[in-house]
Formats: sequence, structure tokens, C-alpha cells
Amino acid sequence: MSEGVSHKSQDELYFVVRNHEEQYSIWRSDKQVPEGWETQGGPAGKEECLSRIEELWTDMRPASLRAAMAAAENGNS
Amino acid sequence: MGHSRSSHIPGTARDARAFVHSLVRESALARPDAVALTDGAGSRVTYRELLERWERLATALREWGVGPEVPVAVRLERSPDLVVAMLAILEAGGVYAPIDDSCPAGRFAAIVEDLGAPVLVTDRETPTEVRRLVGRIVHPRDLPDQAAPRALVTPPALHPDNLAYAMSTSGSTGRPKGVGMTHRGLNRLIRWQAADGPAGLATVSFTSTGFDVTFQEVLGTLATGGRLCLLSEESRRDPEQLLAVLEKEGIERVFLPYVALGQLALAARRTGRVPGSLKHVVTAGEHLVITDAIAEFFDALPHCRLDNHYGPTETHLVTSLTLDEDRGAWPRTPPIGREVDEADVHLLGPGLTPVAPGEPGEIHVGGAALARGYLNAPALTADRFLPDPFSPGPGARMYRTGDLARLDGDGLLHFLGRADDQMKVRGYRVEPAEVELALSRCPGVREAAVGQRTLADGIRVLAAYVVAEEGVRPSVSRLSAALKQSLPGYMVPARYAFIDAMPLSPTGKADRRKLAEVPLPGPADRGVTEPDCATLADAVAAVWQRVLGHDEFEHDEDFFDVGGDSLLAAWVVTELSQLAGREIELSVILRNTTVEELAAFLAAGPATSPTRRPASELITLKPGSAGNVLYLFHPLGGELLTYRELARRMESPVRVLGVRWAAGPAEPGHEPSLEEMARAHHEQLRAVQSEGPYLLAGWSFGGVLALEVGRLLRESGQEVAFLGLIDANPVLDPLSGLPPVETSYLTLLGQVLEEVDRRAADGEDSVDIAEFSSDRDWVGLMGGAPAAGVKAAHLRRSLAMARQSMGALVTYTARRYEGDTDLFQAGATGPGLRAQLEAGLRGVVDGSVRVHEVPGDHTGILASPHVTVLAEAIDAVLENIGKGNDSDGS
Repeated sequence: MSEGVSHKSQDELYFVVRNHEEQYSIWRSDKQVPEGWETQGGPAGKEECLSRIEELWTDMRPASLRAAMAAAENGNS
Repeated sequence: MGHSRSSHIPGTARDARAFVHSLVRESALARPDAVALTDGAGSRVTYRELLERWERLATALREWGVGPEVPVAVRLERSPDLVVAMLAILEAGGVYAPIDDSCPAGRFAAIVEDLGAPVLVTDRETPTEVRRLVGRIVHPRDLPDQAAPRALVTPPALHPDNLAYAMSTSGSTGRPKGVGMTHRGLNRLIRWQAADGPAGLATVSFTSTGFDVTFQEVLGTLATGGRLCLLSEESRRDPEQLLAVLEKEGIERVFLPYVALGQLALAARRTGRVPGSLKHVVTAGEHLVITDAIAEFFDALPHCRLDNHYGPTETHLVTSLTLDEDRGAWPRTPPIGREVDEADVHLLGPGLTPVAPGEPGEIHVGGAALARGYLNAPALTADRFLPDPFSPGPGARMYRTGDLARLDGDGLLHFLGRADDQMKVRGYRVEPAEVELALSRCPGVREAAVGQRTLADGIRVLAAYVVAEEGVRPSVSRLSAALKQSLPGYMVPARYAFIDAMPLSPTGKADRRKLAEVPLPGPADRGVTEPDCATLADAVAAVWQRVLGHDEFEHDEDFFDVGGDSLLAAWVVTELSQLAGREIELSVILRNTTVEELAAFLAAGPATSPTRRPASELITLKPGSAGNVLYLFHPLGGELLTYRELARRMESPVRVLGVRWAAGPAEPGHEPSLEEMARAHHEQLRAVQSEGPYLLAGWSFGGVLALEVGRLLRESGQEVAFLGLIDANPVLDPLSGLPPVETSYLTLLGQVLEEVDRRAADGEDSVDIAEFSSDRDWVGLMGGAPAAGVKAAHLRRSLAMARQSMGALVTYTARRYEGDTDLFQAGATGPGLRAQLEAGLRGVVDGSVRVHEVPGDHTGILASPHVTVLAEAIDAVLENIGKGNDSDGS
């Protein structure tokens, strides 16, 4: 009912994007994707992209942290 | 991440410089004997003790499996324990997750569930729904006493990108959401704060634990070896007490939301006192306005610096402005300043394109200030944390704040408000969707929308627009009471407008622009038609303003919700008596808690004369289900203000009604006996609730009344499910252990009465109470010192009533009570006296006597902070009674 700034048109399309830390976001499909981000899906409506991210982004720790924690775990055992 | 391994510090791995708790440890090791914490009431904790306590708790937490990425929920009063818990959780590698004090049980449970916290650190009873969710609940003091922390558990390999804390904030999905901040972000903030002023400033901890400014206060101070003064909730709410603490403790720095700064300035103006030790004031969280009072305050403190900070929870501090040394140059609405440290601000328009200089744009924050995101909420995070096309480094993110600002010619940012629906109420962030969802669940509500409206006097409040189910328009008080069960107080709307249909925008959403034009109900719609009420309301508001020290209240807001307490209530009533030219009783403000109601009461003319009203009278202390009522009986003075705090702190779904002696002191020779008083109360209870089970309780003399009324109820075949004696005893005085007839109270009350009369005859109409109130017996007897400035007539009345009650108690012989009782024993009572009291009680009670210990002395158990424990103890007993009834199949 009160989701964000909603004066934009409803049929704007987005990409699902992901960076080197495997963090996800969305990006308007009519604009150039910023450096360091890869397209993972879309173009699609915003809600569709966000629900796709809800499925894909299962571990919200940045990739480098995940790696560091796994390394520390192995070092300790 | 730096690589300079400056010193090896046990308990941490990697680079110790990357962690704030290591910074605090360094300052603790450098000055172990320096005072780290004070509480404004005389207690002190040195850095050595602080370090020992936090290491002990950290060791225990690690043994329980707390480590990197594991949240620990914390619900503690602002106390040394809170600081110990914060540092211990960071040290253990866990995620510090504070739960706001004002959080109702349901919301508390939702937050804990979303966090998935295995451990809760708390100093109070925990609601059942929360208890089910956490594996372990620990009181910070309940730890095995170890001489030195054991190093058995391997220190966690903590990484700067691990989470340091999680803050809950209002969520547009209808549930609160948790912002997860990393050690890197926290460390950056505290280092910036430490470098932004001289080290070691004595700082007061004022901020609510639910705001991230607490870290600047607590860790920013301790990391530079400063002294942190933890304010009691009472001093926090009362600007004059805050002023006194600032002076007494020699406080040099304070972080205050804008409203509190305004109140402090007004208190300083009113009392003519200025905290001369103050060197640095930081305000954040709201639109700063330099009011006349604030300007005067700083004029009197020529060397005190004022900073204005801006930063949402998701990014931490973003910008800061230090106001000019030339006070004459201060603008009325100062800018929020420039970016600090490594935060990057971009002002963007549609399509994320930068706006032209001077044009308004939405603040997007990039750089090192960003949180990781919203815990366990990937979609929500992806929607607000976007790719940052302006960053020199690839793959960076920026946070879309929803705040609007513009950049002026000097490169300073000016805050302009919100780009979306989110609102700020008293500094708290409120998502209207969360309130709308809660409203739509209320019975009788078909559709609801919420918006922020500015009232005539420039104050912003939450307004609800409600489309009711046909024919069942719910009452405002019912809606408000229902919302208070699930939302914190600041999210409950102050105005309700009933509309026939929800206006819709072309996209099918509620049309907020049209809603903002819906007329709001004012005082005129509330059944007050007296022509002079508008002026009377203004007069009452002026009294409140004088007494409360601020004007941040609406005419329909509850006195006790805007900073009033029982002492201040006595003052208000005294002033109102003068205004009305007639005696007004203290209880009037309990029945008429808003400006409107008080004005209506005054407009209605003299109250019915005391002879015509029943001697026993009931007053709602806390609304709730009418089928479940707890009656609290008045103490010696006949009035109920003593119970106000207790009723407010209780979370049981019961309605709390106070039972007062409305007749006041009788003509000499006509004084009622205690049995007669109890009979009058019994009759009144049966009149409003014809059948049991009854729940009764009372403090001190009120407990004896409750017992006698309970006996009468049982005698007439009614069930008494709860009889609570709050440090009360029917046969012995709880302070001395003597039978009442052997105490000197009756004489003492007589002497004080004579003294008051003598002074009144000398023309002193206001009595300096300090002389009486310093006597411990007096305070014990009357439940606290009367407020300064109480008029002699008022004091006389309550003294005469107390003497009459005492007389009744002295001649009373307790009869056998055949049911069970719950004794809430003041913990400060010595073991000998306690045994004596319990034996006395068991002598007249045939059923069981369950003893619950509550910290504090006879009067202290009804005052903050102990009253919270008392409220929880009573809640727990009432909850069990509820279960007992269920298992009976009733």
C-alpha cells in the first residue's frame, strides 16, 4: 500500500544483478549496468526481480567473508 | 583492512585495531583505576571491574555457542549491565541485538524470531511467547563467579566484515526489520567520533538503546577513556532531573535528540540553571530547529559546541555540522553539514541521475558507512542497497535513504524531508504500512490508512483514517488500546478520522494527498460544547507546559505519556485549583488525563459534593478487557497515584482499576473503621463486577484493605483468584515489625498536621516539604516525599486522610482469611524482620502464602527501576491463574 516512491510507471523493467561479493541488487534495464556487477536475470518487473533475489540470495554474508570464515574453521580443526 | 599487528590481545584474532571492543580494552588497560561508569545515583564502576565483568560474560557466551554471526538479544535497563552486555557480546564475536524497552510482547517475539537469537540477556521477566523462542535466558549478574576468565573456549576468528550489531526498525511489510551493521562500520564510526573532539569527555548516556547513537555515546566515550554516566529512566524523562545530573556529575558531552535538547533548554530557562561543565552537545535524528530557548541555552554556555548529525540506521553517521562559534550567525534551521569520514553522498533524481547543484535530490549513500543489509531479507536489501555507479571501485553498493536534501553554495547539505511515506515521530522511524496493518486487524476496521499531519501549533502527529465495518464503528479508545498491544507507543496514532470510503489514486492505492485534506477531529468533536472550553484548554495547557517544562503534547495526549509523573500531577492539580478557584482533588488528573478532559472537567463546574458520592470510587489505571480486572486498593492517603507506574508497567491483558477513598477525611468522631471502609469498597466492587473470580492487591495499608475485602467477597460465596499483598501485612507494620498500635506513626502524622496548620495560620500557603520528607518513616508511610510547591490545603487533606486510615488500622483486628495469598516482599527487608512478618501473615492466612521477592525497600518497590520487577512478578502470577482456569476447561 505504501511501498516506496511509486510515482514511476509500473512497467519499468529491471535486471537482477550480482557483484563480486555475491551481493544481489536490481538495476534499470534501460541503463548501463555499473562496473563490477553482472546480470543474473531479467529484464523483468521489479517485484519479479526481487522475488527471484529472495530465492537466489540464500547467504547474505559477502563472498570474501564466507571464504575467510571457512578458512578459519579449517585452520581451527 | 589494515595489517599492523600492534599488540597481541587475548580473546581477539586478526588485527585488533579493527575492533571497537579492543579499543575499549586498550583504554581499560591503560587506566584500570579510572571510573568508567556511573549511574547518577552514586554507584561507580572502574575500567578494571568493567573489563572483568565483560570478559566473564563473554566467556560464558562463548561456552553457550555465541560466536561470529550469532545474534544475542538484549533487553536491559540503561545500567552498567547494559554496557557489560554490549562489550561482552562484541568480545564473544556475537551480534548485539538490543530490544527497545517500550516493545510490547508480540513485537518482542517477532523481533527475536526474525533474529533467530539463541540467547537473551535480560534483567526482567520474559514473556512466554519470547521464552519459547530462545534457548537460554541469562541475567548479566547470574554468572558463575570466576576469579579470572577461563580461556578454555577458542577465541573466535572474528572478521571485520562480521556483524557487530542488529538494530530493529519499522518495516513497510508490517513487521520490524533488522539492520545488520559490521564491525568495520562500527569501528569506523567510533574512530571518527573519538577523533572528532578531545578524548576522555565525561558523557551522559541518554539515547534509547534502540537507536544506533548509543554506540557513539557508550563506545565513543569508553574508547577514549572517558566516564559514562548512565541516566535512570526517570531522569531521562524529566528535563529538570537531567539538568541536575549534568551539573552534579560534571558532564561534558551529551547526545540529545532535538526534542530533548529543546526540553533541556526550557528547563534551564525555567530554573535559571545552566550546566556549566558542558562542552559538547550533539543532536541527531531529527530536523534541528534553533528555538529561542536553545539559543539562550548556548548563549549561557559560550564555550560549548553544538553539532548536528545525520545518518540513517542503514549507513551510520553520514554528515555532520559543527555550528559556528559566532552564535549570532546560527540559522534557525541549520544544515546537516558535510560528509564525514568515508561516506559518499549523492543527490539523485529520477533514473538515478545527479540533480543540478541547489536542486532537491534523494540522498544515496555510498562508501564505507554501509550496513550489510536487512537480516534475512534479501529482497528488501536488494531494493534499497543498489549498485553504486559513482564509486571508483567496481561492484560497490549505495543505500537509497528516501531522504531529500539539497546542496547549498558552501557545499553544505540541507535536509528537506522524505521522498516516500516513511515518517518520523519523536525521532523514531515509522513506516505507515506497519501501523496500517495493525489497524486493519482491529475489530470493526474495514480499511485503514495512516499519515502524518501538522496541527495548528506546528506539531506533527500520526493520524489514522479509518473506514469502519458497517454499523460497528469502533471507539477511538478501543482502537488505541488495541494498537498499544502490538505497537510501541510512538506508532499509535494521535488522531483518528472516520471516513466513508478510502480515496484511491489512479494506481489503486490510498490517495495520500486527498487523505491529508480530511478534517481531523478536534476538541469540538469530543463532546465538549462549553463555549469557554477553548480558552480553558489553553489555560490548562499552559499549566502543563509549566509543570512538564515543554509544550510537546497534544490536547488529547495522556499526561503520563508526555513526561508527567505522580509528583508532577500533584503540582498540576495545585495549579488547577488556583485556576478554578476551588479545591480540586488529586484523583481528578487520574480520571481526566488529557488537557481536553481536564478543561471539560473544569468547565463542568464544581464537582458533586463529596457527601453525595459513594465513599468508594474506582478509577481506570490501565485499560484492558473488562472481563479480567485487577483491583488495586489505596494506601493510607486514600489516593492512587502511587500505583500509576505499576499499572503502566504491567503487561497482563487485565484492566487495572484503582480503588480510592473518595469521601476523604471524615468529621471528627465519624471516622470509619477499617471494616467499614472495606465494606464500602466491597459494595462498590460487586456493583461493577457482580461475580468472581476477583483479582485484588494492595500496597502497605492497601494490602490490608485488599485482604479484608477479599474476606468479605469469600464470605458472600465469591471466588478470589488472586490476593496480592505488596509489602503489606495485616498484623505487623512492614517497616518495624511492630503491631501497628505500637508504632509512632499516628503521633507523627498528628505532629506534622499540627505543623502544617501552624504554618498555614502564619500565612505560608505553600509548605517546604523537605523538612518532613527527610524523615525515613515519613517517606515509608506516605509512599514518597510530596512534591515541592504542594499547597498546604492539599497536604493537609492527604495527611488528615492518612491519620484517619492509620487510626483505623491501629484498632483493626485481622480475621482469618481462608484462601491463598501472594506476598510481594520488599527485598531490602532484613531476614529477621522478614521471618517475623511472614509468621504474622501465616497466622491469619489459612491457605498458602507464596512469597515473591522484589528488589527495593518498602516504597522503592513501587518506583522505577524496581517497579518493573514488581509488575513482571504480578504478571507472572496472573498468567498462571489464567492457565489454571484454562485447564479447568472453563
